Parts: sequence; structure tokens; C-alpha cells
Amino acid sequence: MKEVEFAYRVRQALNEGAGSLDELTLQRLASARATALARRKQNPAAQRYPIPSPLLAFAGRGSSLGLERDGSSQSPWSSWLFRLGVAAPVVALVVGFISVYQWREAEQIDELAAIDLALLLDDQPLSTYADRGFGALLEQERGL
Amino acid sequence: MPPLRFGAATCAIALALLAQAALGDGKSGPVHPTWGELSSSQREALAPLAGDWDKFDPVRKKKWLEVASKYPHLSPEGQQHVHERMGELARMTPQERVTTRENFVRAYQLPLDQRQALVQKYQDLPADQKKELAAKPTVRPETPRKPTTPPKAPAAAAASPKDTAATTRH
Repeated sequence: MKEVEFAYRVRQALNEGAGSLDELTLQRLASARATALARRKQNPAAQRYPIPSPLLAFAGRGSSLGLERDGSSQSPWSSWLFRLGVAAPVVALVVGFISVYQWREAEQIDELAAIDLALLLDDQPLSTYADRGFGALLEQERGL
Repeated sequence: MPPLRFGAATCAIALALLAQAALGDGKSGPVHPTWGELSSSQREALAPLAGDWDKFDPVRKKKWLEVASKYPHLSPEGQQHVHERMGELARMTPQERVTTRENFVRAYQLPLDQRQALVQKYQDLPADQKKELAAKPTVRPETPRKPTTPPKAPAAAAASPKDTAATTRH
């Protein structure tokens, strides 16, 4: 019950405070309320992106922080800076991946070329090396 | 641009770049360089491959071009020896080439006399014993296609006593 009483007293205090506001302040508050209501009716999409309360202080003045001059909020994806911030790491990752891939491929080609040249310079018949039986004999001999 | 479309576009570009890196330039038609595009020294080094060159895939071409870059540094005897075996190696099936390289790399770790003796022993085996050996499951090296210590081409001179003059610079 104390909470209800406290709420009642707060409301009373606010009403009394509102009564003591000067004419100019009342006029500006009324005007701002009317403007806000009108915009809300004109642009129901704005309700999809609730405006953080600190930004309401800038209502009507326009702001670059995701709030256009007409008061509607925007997705961060509409900002080129935001898109660049997302795309740059992806592109960097892909470029890095390609570089590593090409470097590994070049390394493998060098290794294959070194093996093939040594193989071509060797005296033993290629057909012997190509035979799986020779590989088995090699394992057998090395295992002894 | 909506986030979904932007994400899709970024992914498409990324995939295109990756595909280009993995598959080369992506153009259909002859893989470059064609035989006609090779320099005269490359054509001379790879002469036994002239008929098949334009059918090779890009990686294979790069590998042979790497071999060709070392060819001028071989002795005339070494060059002749390489030419005699080049066609045979190139005509093997991919699986045969893999087996050949695996066996060669493992055999190369043996001293020359042991290697020669082992090859001779294998060649002297009757055909049925060779088949029996071939049927055995082989223990593959840890990195079959990428041995950590590939034989260096200069050492090949030692592997070919008759080609003692066969040397490379690298």
C-alpha cells in the first residue's frame, strides 16, 4: 500500500510542478508532443526500430547517429562505413587464405620438381619404382 | 542494401576469389602456357613432352617448368639421361607416378650400394613373388606426396655414378 501512496504523491508533485511551468515552456512541450505524434502516425516503420531514450533529446533537430532528419531510424547496414567494417575483414581473410594456398602450392610444386629431377637422373629403372611390389620389398628390408 | 543481400554479395565475391585461386583463371580452353608459348630453352628441356604438353593441367605444367629451369645446369650426359626417362615418367598414370615417387623417396634414404642391391634383388625375383609382394598392404609414408626431406636434385649426381658430371646449381 505504501508503494501506491508513494506513486500517488509523485503524481501529485508532478502535476503541481507542471502547473507552475511558464507559458513558453508549456507551449514548447505541447508543440513537441504534437510533432512527435504526427510523425509517429506518418511513419509507422519507425516503431520497428525503437529509438534509445537519450536520442529523443535530439528529436526534431536531426542526427547522424542512425536517425535521419525526418526522425526515422535506420539499420546500421545502410552506412557505408559499417558495411566496409564488415566487408574488410572478410576480404582480408579471403586474400590471406588465397596467399597461403598459393604459397603452399608453389612449395609443393618445388618439392615435386626436385623429386622428379632426382628421379630422372637416377639410374634405376622407373618401372621398378612404379611397382608396388618394390615398395613392399623396401618396407620388408627396412623392417629387418 | 539490406544486410542479407550485402552478406550474400560479400560471400559471392569471396567465393569467386577462392575459386579463381583454386582453379586458375577459370577460362575454358588451353591451359597456359601452351607449347608454342614456351621459350626455346624450355622447349628444348621439355622436348620429350612436346606431344602431350597441351593436355597437362596447370600444376603439372608448373612442375615441369621448374624442372626445365634446372635442365640447362645439367651436364650433357645428365640432360640426355633426363630426356630418356622424361617421356616414360610423363606417360605414367597419376597413381603410378605417386607410387614411383613414394618408392623412390624411401629408397633414396638408403646408401647407394644398398639401393642398387635392393633394386637388383627385386628385379631377380620371379614374377609370382613380385605379385605376392605387390598384394601386400604397404605402409605409406606419413606425407606421401610431400616428403619432408625430398631428395635434392644436386644429390642426383651421386645417385648416378655414370653421370658424375650431372650437377645443378640450386
